[in-house]
Amino acid sequence: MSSFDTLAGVTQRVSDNVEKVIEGKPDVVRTAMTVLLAEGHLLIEDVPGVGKTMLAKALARSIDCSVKRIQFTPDLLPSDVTGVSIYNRETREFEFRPGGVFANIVVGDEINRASPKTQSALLECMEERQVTVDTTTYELQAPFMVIATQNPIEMEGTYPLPEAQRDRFMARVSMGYPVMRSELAMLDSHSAANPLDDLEPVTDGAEIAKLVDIVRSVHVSDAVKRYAVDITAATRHSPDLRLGASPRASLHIIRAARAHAALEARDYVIPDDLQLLAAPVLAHRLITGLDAQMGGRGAEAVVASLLRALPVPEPAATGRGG
Amino acid sequence: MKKSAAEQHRLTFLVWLATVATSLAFLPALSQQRYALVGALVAAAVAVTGTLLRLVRIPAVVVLTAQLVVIVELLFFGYGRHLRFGFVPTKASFETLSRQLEKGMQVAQEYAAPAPASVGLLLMVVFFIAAMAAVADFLAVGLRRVPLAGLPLLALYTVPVAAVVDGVPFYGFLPGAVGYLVLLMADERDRLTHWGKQVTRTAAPEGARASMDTSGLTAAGRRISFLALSAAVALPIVVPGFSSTLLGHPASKGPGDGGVAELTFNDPMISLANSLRRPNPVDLLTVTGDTQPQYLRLTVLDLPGPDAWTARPVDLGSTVPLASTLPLPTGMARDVPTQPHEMSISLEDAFPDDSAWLPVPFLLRSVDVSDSWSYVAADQTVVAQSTAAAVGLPRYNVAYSKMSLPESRLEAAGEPPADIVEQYGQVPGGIPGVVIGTAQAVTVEGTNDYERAKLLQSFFRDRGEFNYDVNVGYGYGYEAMAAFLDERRGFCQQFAATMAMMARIIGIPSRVVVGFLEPERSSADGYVFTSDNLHSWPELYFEGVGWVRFEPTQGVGAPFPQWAERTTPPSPSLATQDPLQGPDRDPELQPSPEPAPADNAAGGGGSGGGVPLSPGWLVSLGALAFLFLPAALRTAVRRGRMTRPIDDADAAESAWLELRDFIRDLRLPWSGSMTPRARERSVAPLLSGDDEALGALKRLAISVERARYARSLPPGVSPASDAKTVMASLSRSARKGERVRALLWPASLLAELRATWRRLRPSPRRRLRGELRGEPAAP
Repeated sequence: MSSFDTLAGVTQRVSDNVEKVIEGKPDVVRTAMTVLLAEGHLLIEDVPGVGKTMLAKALARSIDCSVKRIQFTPDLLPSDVTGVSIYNRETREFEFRPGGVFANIVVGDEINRASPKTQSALLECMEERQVTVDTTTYELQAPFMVIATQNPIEMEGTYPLPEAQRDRFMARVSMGYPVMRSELAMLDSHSAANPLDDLEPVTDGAEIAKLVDIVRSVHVSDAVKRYAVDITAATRHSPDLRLGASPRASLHIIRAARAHAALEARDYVIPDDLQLLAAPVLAHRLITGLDAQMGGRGAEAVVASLLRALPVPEPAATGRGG
Repeated sequence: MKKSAAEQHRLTFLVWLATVATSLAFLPALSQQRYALVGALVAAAVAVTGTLLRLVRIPAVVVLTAQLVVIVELLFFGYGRHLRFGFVPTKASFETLSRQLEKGMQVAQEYAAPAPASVGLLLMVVFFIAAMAAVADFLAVGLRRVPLAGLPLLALYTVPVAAVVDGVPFYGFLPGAVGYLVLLMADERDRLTHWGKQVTRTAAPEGARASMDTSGLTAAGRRISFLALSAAVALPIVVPGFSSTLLGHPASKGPGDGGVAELTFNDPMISLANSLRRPNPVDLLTVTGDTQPQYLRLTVLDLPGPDAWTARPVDLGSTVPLASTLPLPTGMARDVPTQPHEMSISLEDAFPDDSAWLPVPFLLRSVDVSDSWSYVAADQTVVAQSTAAAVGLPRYNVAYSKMSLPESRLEAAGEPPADIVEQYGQVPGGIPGVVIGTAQAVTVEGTNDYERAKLLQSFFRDRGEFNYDVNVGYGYGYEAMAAFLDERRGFCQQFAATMAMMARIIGIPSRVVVGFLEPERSSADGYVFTSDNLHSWPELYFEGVGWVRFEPTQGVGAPFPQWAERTTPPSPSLATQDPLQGPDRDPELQPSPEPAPADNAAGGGGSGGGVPLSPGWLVSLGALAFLFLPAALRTAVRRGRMTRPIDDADAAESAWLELRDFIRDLRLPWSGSMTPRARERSVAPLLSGDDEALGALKRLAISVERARYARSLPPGVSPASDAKTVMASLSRSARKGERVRALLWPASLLAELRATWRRLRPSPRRRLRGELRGEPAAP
């Protein structure tokens, strides 16, 4: 089980590193690590000023790899994201100038401040890890992770992410306000200098790629797969939801569950993993129905109630009094 | 729920009514029908006492005590007499009452139902009825647990059911059942009227007292009651009952020896064996007489052979016509004191038509049958002169004698005459040495023939070395005797033949007689001899007395000298003997009627017989079985789980399921669908800090989790022992009552049944939902 020890060690180092900057949010950091190891993309959503960008940057800095940051503004163009072919007069050829996505970790800040057109530029690279510009397709490096932050859509000057875009994020986490102790500590640590400046990388892209391989080896039993499908299917049938989870969501939840199991040094996925990850992985893809909205129930609450109603996978009765 | 006074009074009355109705089941058990009236009166006194005391709000237990005091006081008043100040019982009244009760007990034991009139018996029955009335009253009115009042009523019903041989007829069951249902209905109606909402068919007039309209409920109640009663009465008619020898009968052997096989007496010994192996004994004779009939004889086998004893061919020309005075048996002196007796024998349908012998008692004086029968003086048997003489033979009267003579006559018996020795004293060649050796060894201490005969008999039945077994694999020829002495297992055939042969070996002339053992069952028509009573025994010859019956069969009947007139009354146990068991069937439990001289050991310790099964036993066994049925099923489930795991994963799952059921049995929470870890978290608080159990629980949960979701289980896990640790801890922290309830009434069984039911029958809602989703309907 030494591979899991390595994984745990690296994860611990990254978590510790990030927590130097983001106090009191171990769960969020852990989910972020989970998504990283599951080769997913992370959406950090919360009100301004709770440290979304700080988390994204801290995570990016902890890993010694190429990091790019794209500040999504209303006038950002798709070519700013993907890159553009420009005409080089000297060589008299079109030259491709890579955009912001050409990095191991892309921090997309305030992603919902850009127009949907620009947001859509991310679709291909997030899912297929490649960029096509002018009929030429450029592969992105592995590992590749988009960490996007956004303000809740009811905030002024934001565009809601298109469903297709949301679906490409493996998980969405909310930072939440820090507890008082953490906030006090933050006042001390952040007043003098930017703590991000002192943050040193604790791992590199190659090591992360190895860890990803370890995660892929985690066993998912048929029962758990069925459970994952049951969960996503339940969202599709729920009267509280207008839009349920896609098959990609099933895929994402299993991948995330693998990573979560690996983080717990377990070589198999258990339903508890899915239960824990269902809300972060599914909620941002769902659109609640009018009833749920009127009742003040968000997608997380609906997912939680669906999980309560779903029986956990058990072996079929053996006919021996069971 | 508080009952109003009026409701209480009504309930009290209905409890009384139900008790009196149930007590009618005693009608077939007692010849004295007065008990019903007296019982009803005393029960009424119980009810009145209860009503009065409850009016002044006295605790229920005190009321019950007072009611019991009233019952006892009334019994003293009625039958104890000698009361001081007219109501305080004195020593004399206690003595009178206890004497009466003793007599009652004696009557109850001595007589089969219907028991003859006896004050003591009446007292006992009345006391029982009144006591059950008090208990029912206590449960229904005092504790307001009306359904439970059925228990004392059931107890009341059970006694006559156990006492009456053929069971209480349906009309003995009906009144009690109706009474109980009426009681239940009244209670339910009262309960409904306490519901808040008033539901009436028509608007109640202004100011009218609001009351529930329960007519619909009552009608439904009546319909249900009627259906239930009809079913209870009608079903037993069509449902096949238990064979009366359900447990007591030895397994049948070979084809054709079932209950349908015709009985024949062609070869008496074979018929005898087959009869004893019948699963259902059939009635063969019904006998009435001035005294209880004893052994009846059919035929005599006096020729030992290598395979069997056989009867000497009867020269029909030399027989004595029955019309004449029958000669005394061979060798019997005229001065042997006898008493004349009479009996009347009726052959039942199952008695073989081709029987060449007529069952008659020993010391026959006359028989009033037709000329087609005659008397064989040498054997003292009655043989048919023609075939099928027994067909349509009417009830015949028999005059016979019973001897009573002192043992000294037997001890002083002289040498048998030469013709007797010639005919009955021959020891053929080919007798195995062990038979001869045993005969001599056993009787070495005897100083005369009689003592030696007693020693022989005692050897077989008193030492406890022989076991009764009707299914032995050998007959009663020479080699069979050796096998019998070796295995010490057999039935009357082997006992009789071997003792007869051993008697000849030591010089006492002998023969084997086939006939009927004393009957153990009586009906209104008289004593009934069944196929189970068929028997064989040796008769030994003593000069001056003649043929004397001995009884070597282990535990069966009475040992010598049973044929002699007894000086004490017949054993009461014979009249009320367990009717389901032929004595041949359970020799151990057949008490020796009196301590006979040879009966030096108490019955012997053989264990060849079965368990005694009377209806009372059956009812108790049934009740016990019913009580322990859930526990037994639960144990079976546990065994099945814990003992046969297919693999490690199965072992973990089984242990987990067992833990689940154990927790459910203790009525602790285990609900909903949870992952093993979540379940572990929910169960852990129940272990109240028992670290060992907590560790075991954690290991077990991980084992189950791995069994379900991982590739393999790690080696070295023992889910069964982990589960046991957790269960032991749970059991320790449970209260005793909870543990007993978990054992006797395991909730997991019920949950399992419900789950099975749900699996088999999807709810309409689920079906509908499935159809809406386009899923195929569940099979």
